[in-house]
Amino acid sequence: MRQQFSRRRFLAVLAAGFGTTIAACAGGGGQATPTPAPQPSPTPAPAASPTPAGAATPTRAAATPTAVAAQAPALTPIPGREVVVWQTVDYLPETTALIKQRLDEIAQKNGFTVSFEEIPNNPQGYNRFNAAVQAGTPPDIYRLYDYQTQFWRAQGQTTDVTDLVAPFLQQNGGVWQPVELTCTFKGRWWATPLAVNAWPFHTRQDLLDQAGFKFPANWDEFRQQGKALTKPPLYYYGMTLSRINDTNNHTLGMVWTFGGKLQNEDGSLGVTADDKAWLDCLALIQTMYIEDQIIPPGSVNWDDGGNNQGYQSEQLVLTSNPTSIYNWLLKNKPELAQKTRFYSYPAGPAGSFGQVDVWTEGLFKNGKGGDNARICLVALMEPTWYASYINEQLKGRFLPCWKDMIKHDLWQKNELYSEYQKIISTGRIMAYAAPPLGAFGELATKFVIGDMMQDLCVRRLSPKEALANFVKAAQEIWSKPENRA
Amino acid sequence: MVVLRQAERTVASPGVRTSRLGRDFWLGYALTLPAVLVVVGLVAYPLGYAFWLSLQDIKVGGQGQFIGFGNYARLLFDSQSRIYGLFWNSVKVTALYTGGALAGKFVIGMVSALILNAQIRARHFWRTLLFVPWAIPAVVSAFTWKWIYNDVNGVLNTFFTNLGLVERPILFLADPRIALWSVLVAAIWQGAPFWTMTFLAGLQAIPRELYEAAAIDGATPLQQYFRITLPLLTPVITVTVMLSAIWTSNAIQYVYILTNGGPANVTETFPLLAYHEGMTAYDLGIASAIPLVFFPVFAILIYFLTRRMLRQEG
Repeated sequence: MRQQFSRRRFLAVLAAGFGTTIAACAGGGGQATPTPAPQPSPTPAPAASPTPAGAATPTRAAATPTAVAAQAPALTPIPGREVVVWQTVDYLPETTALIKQRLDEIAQKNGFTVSFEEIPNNPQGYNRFNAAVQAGTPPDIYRLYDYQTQFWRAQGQTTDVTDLVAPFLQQNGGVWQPVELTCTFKGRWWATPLAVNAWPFHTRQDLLDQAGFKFPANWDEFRQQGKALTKPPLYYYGMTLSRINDTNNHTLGMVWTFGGKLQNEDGSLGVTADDKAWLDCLALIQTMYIEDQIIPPGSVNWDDGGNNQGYQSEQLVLTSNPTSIYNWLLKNKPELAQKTRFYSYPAGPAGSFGQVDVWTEGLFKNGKGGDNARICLVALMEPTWYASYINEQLKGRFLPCWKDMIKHDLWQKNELYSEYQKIISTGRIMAYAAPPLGAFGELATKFVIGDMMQDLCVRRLSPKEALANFVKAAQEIWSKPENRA
Repeated sequence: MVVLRQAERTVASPGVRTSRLGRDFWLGYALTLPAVLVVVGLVAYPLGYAFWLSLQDIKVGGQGQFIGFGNYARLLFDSQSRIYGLFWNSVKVTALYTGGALAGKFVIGMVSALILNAQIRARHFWRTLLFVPWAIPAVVSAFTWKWIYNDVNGVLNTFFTNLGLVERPILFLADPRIALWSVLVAAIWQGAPFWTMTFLAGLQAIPRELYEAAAIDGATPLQQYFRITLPLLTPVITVTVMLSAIWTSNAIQYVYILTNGGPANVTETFPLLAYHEGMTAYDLGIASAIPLVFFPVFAILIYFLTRRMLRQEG
């Protein structure tokens, strides 16, 4: 039976053991007090006032006029007050550099300052952020992706930003469904949208052409091509099978093509131990790894950079990944970039679906920036600047969050990105068909899908046994009441 | 002598301390206060806070719910729970990893120390060279070993392939049958110099006359080793084993960088499991409970270690 046991009571007990000195240390020990429970009440409705972010340089980006932006929330700059912004480093330096530039401009215009810091996009960086949150000293604004938006909301760390997002929702055709699923909970917005990160298959078109192949239309063709093109150390498919984030993506992207999914629309677990779609998909993965040997054997122990490095070192014919691989090639191996094309998933019995994850900017309650931080977030959604940032400056690194912005020449006329229309129009986030709430977050961060892949390809259990183990672990996660939020 | 006895009486009877020492009594407390604060602040408070976290169901940044010893119960007894299997697997892996590392370091450390203690040519050069691995940061050497083991372009596989010894690369870090041993080799490589150093210091403290006398009595080198060297080195060996056991079982650099606990958890030691649960999966309650389960074991080990070291000092 669970009981509420206050920290104060605990400290009293502790003090009896360690004396008054402990109590003194506890008071100054880095604010380890857990943050209060989430405040579900919405932010007060904003009053009408001009947006502080309206003066961006015009570009030829396809952004609808900002008529609705006139209803942006009334935000009063606080002169001199600093806004602390942390962004994780991206493969493409412009991703964060342009945000910094934008925020510096806005800050200067409104008389406040921005402390902008790039932190490593690796466990060390995440640990630093987690520690800051736990200590009660997070930045005002931090970039989140996928389940993280809902995770920090559920921990009561982020602020409702519905008032900031609402004025932009009807513009530019509105936002894609994955954006809404990622950011909203019970109709409220808990982060501002930043970008849609697509996961195309990076494909060595030159190798396909040489062999007279086209990108496989279905999994049968996929296997046939794989067997024909695999000649170690060149392997066909760079599928990650270890306990890492990419494994979640690669597996779920395949499962959808068989008609399976992780969650139902109501957020309940969408997979059972005898789920035919999942079993068929697992059987295919096992066959490709063990029998066909078209997946590198070391992929059972790759880290998140494993498939990147495999493709970049010309040891893979194709792999699914955000365009970080391609952008690295542009700078370091332009000849290989020339040979690369992007495709969506091959079709399974249920069709083919694009895979995306959504990056957002979270506003943290314990930040000290006040309205200044909110002004910064509005500035990052201002359509003219945003369209220029995504479509013209980052040139394909991300898809825009707003539907009409995909009408830009980059996505319509550039052959390289032609398949992106299909990816985003059928795009799904991993938690599909429900928001990535607590249960999905726990499943993803505990790498339960990775465990299943290890059962399948390392322990060589049958698909049925591997799925049974997976479902048992998933049920345990979904049974926790706190994971429904 | 009189002064000493007086001092002994003073210490023996606390009731008269203040009257005899006057203000010096409080000065003593004042002078020890910084040390007390450091110990409390850096040891007792974090330990107490970790224990408090282990009694809650709490995520990073979230509000915890007190569940008593629920996390410990899940770890130790709840066979239906996912973490139960992972925990007991980590216990087994930690035992294998620590035991294997200690055995490897002992053998290499002892052999190296015996060689370096002998009158060999360029002895100082070899001593310096042997200690190089110890001087390299663990993270750097772990990444180096990762490259050495790489299945595609690693040193070992390139070497074996060029010699025609293997057709397909050996999966040093991805084959569950050899992954732990591959990690152990790297860990032993770095840890053995410390053992060599301590054993060498111990060997040099053994009087040569004992060996000369034994030789005159007809003792073989092997008999000299078992009858003189090993018994006289026992205190050094004991301290080294205890220290190394604590360091090795708690270190995560090699398993984290080389395999991150994989494949199929065959290299996931308990500190790495705690790291995964706490920092990757945000579950602070379980992550705090995992190392605290082992706290009594380490407390006992540290108690005996401290007692022995203090006795040696005495």
